[in-house]
Amino acid sequence: MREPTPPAVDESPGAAPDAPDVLARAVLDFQRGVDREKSFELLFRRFRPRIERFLASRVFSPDERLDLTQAVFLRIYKGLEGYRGEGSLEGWVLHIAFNVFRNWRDHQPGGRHAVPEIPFEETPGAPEPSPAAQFSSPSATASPLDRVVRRERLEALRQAIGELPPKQRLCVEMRVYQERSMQEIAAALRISPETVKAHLFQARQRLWDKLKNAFGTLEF
Amino acid sequence: MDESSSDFRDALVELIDGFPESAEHPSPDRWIAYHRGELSPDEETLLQEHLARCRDCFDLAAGAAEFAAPAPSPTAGEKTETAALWRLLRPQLDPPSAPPGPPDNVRALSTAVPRRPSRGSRLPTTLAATFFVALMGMTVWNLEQRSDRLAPRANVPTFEVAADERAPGERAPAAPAGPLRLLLHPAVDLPVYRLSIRDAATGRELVSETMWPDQDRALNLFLPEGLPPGRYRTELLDGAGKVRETHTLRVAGPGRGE
Repeated sequence: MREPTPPAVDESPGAAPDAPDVLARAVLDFQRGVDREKSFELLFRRFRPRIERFLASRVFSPDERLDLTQAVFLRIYKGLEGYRGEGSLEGWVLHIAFNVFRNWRDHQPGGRHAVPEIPFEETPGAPEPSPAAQFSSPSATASPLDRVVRRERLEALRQAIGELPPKQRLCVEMRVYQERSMQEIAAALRISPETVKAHLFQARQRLWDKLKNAFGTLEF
Repeated sequence: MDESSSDFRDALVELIDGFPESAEHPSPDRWIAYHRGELSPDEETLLQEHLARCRDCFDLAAGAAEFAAPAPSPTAGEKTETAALWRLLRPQLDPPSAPPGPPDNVRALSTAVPRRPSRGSRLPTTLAATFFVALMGMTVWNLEQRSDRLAPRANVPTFEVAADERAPGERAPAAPAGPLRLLLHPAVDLPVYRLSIRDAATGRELVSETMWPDQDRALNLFLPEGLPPGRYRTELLDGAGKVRETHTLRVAGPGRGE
């Protein structure tokens, strides 16, 4: 016997479009083919502002943002039939949005780092150091003394970083390793940008006390 | 000094790279739970450690923050945008499958006398079609305007905007009124820029373009209408929307070229 058809999506003024049961009903209606378009529109209206905000700080071209938002919803539309509710609906939507964004980001000039941070002081036109010349990959021509000095500096840094209070260390790592802004770090750690600033200031002081002989300046 | 600072960065990167991130990446649901404060302190600490080392998860977690926050009620502008985007998206969705047809004998009778839909039922379709055509027209017009701005043009005065090297008190050279090609030489090499031109007095943005440098690392912008006489601030922004350079641009009135 056929299951009774559920009523179409409740759009009465009292029904909050954010309510999980309203969204779950919309997914169910979509999968059963009941008012498919209307059900999908409800999901679209629910998730579009969040996806827009997620993309807004990462994709600065409005045209590209529009394209990506459409791509996200087309993928949701195609995948919704197979959504079985193993995780939450919003987690599933976020995953799709992130994958679309990552795919776009990886195809930008420069690959994963679409806009590399280049210090202002860098002389325009100066030859860029090749990866082989970076500190991380000592060339085979480095003298034994260079290698020893490098190892000792790394060890001093490892120790100094390890002695920082956890939040200060995380702020330094996110700032230097991830090259994130104060606002991004604050959002990631769920603290205020002022607190991030204070953590970085204190970490800089502590690191400077221990590393001033190994490194000329500590800028982050 | 700068070299030492760079040494510090490189050393820290090497140090962190030496301890690879955990192969297990938290799911989107865990990041949403993290931002809602639903995890234990120990779990939060673990996730924060992961965030510091994993760039992908950092971006995913930033998205989760948007999903975890309670949805603010949309403004009138957002509602309009959402509705417009829905109208764009809707035609791209699969057409609904056709309902099962009537028996053959009924089909023969009904096709014999095709019924014209009533005027009332045709109206929404007509309106939607009109709107769609208008929207497509505007999109094409926008694209033409954009390609116009970026296309190279002959016989158009070129005005170079470069790093400010004038002596204090010296006035900025003025660009002529009318069609104009701006040539910018950014001091910082980036793969892509956003150029914004604002009225210096009001701060109103008149031009906003995403631009890619040419082989000489210069940015070319063609302004078919030029700019009205006045003072402007040109800003070059990076991908994060951070202003990397600003320049002052002066446009002289007709007959006052310098």
